[in-house]
Amino acid sequence: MIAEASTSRFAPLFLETGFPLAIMGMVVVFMALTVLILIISSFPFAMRRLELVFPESNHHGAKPKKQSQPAPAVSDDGTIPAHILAVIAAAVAETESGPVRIVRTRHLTTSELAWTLEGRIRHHASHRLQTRNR
Amino acid sequence: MNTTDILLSKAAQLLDTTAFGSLELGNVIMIVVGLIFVFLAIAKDYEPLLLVPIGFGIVVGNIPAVPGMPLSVYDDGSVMQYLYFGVEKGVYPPLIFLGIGAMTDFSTMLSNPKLILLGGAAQVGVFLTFLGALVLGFSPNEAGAIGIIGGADGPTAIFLSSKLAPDLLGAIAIAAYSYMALVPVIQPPIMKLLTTKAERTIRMKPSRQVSTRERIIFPVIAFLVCTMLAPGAIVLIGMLFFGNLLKECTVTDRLAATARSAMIDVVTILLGFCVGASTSASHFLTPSSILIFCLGALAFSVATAAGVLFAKFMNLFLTEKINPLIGAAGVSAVPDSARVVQVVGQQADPQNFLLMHAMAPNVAGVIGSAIAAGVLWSQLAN
Repeated sequence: MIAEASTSRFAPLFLETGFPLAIMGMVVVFMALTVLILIISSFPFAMRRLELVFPESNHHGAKPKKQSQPAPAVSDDGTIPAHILAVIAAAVAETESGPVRIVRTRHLTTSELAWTLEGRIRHHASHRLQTRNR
Repeated sequence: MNTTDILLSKAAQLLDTTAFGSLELGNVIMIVVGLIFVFLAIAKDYEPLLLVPIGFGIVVGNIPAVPGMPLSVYDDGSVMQYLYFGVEKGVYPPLIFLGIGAMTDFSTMLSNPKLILLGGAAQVGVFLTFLGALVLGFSPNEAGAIGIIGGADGPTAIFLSSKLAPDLLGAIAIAAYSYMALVPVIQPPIMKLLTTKAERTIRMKPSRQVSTRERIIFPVIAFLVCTMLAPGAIVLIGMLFFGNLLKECTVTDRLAATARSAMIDVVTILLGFCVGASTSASHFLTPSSILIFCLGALAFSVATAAGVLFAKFMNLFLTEKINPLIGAAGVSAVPDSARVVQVVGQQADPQNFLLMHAMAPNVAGVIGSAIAAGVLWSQLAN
């Protein structure tokens, strides 16, 4: 009786709407996604070819806007441009209480990466560590 | 008849015209469930955009109607029935897919196409649960509608159950959205169980830059490929990629903005509220609903596990290994499962950023579950 009941319980799995449908469903899903992968993988090559025939431009064939470039940090003659000096002066004036003069600059060594160091300092300073009474 | 008798009969008459007269224990249980949903959404931040409308809808749907007054979604001619029309006939889910398409960025998927397979692997959960439901005695149509819960896609689950098993729509919708809200609870233990610490710390290379032209061409080609292979998915996939084309083509910004904001919000409110209102105790508190919830949990877990295991399987053949955690994002709960991948990944390595990588299988999962739904619908509807 138990064997018959379990057999009838699993019987729907072997009908057309059981295993065959489940397997077919997975096959269709993977097939569709595989075709998509193949098409997408060919995109870089296809875009390069397309670019030769129809160069990418802005809407209605307008010429692409010229990308704005950041101003160089150092002038051609090796001096620091005026706008960079203004920024440095503003930053120093903000942090120092009185008027100061910057008399020397030097390049950082690899062990003195300023942003990393500053981040580390801030990270450590963010913890309120209890001092032990020794 | 003296004055006391008249007053007593009037009091009894009044009681009959209130909801208290026909309130049953089942209604009280469902009202409590609805209020728990609202509480979880507000206090715990579990999918509030979905659980607040659904939870409040459950409360509304379980206030007993006065006999003779058409009030509930099941009463002919009631206002609620007109609102429910969009759920019953599968109108709302495609509109939600339009909004999802208008807010989805397929760039990460386009830049690393092999991750698309993870979105397919997660659909194993759909078909295994379909088989499980058949064994438990559900009809093939009902089993198909229950299995799609494993796709972790609420609109798809509602769409398919409205077509294949309208009687189970309330239970399936509630199960699908409940498990989507519980993604951060269900997925992490499975992900950790199936991966080693070393695997969870695998770092993946940044994606390449995808051009505007690629992003415009993709939805058109993907629509053609998917619907040629699975025409049943034409409504969901069509709206998804149409929404994405609106977003990417750069000349329909207003339409895309409407689709991904005001329109999807309106439809989400109507969908959530109507689904909640359809769960009156007499229709919802049945043994089938409990089975559906159990099968839904199984579907979701199997889908997550299948994605992770398939990612590990892919790693056997890849020189540049992928972090197997991103396989869990193959279930299409966008973007929650990708966010879970990021969190679990950062627990193993705080400097590892997997979010954008996980978005690739995540959006592929949306496509995969829509195709799976299309296959089930086209095969079972006949």
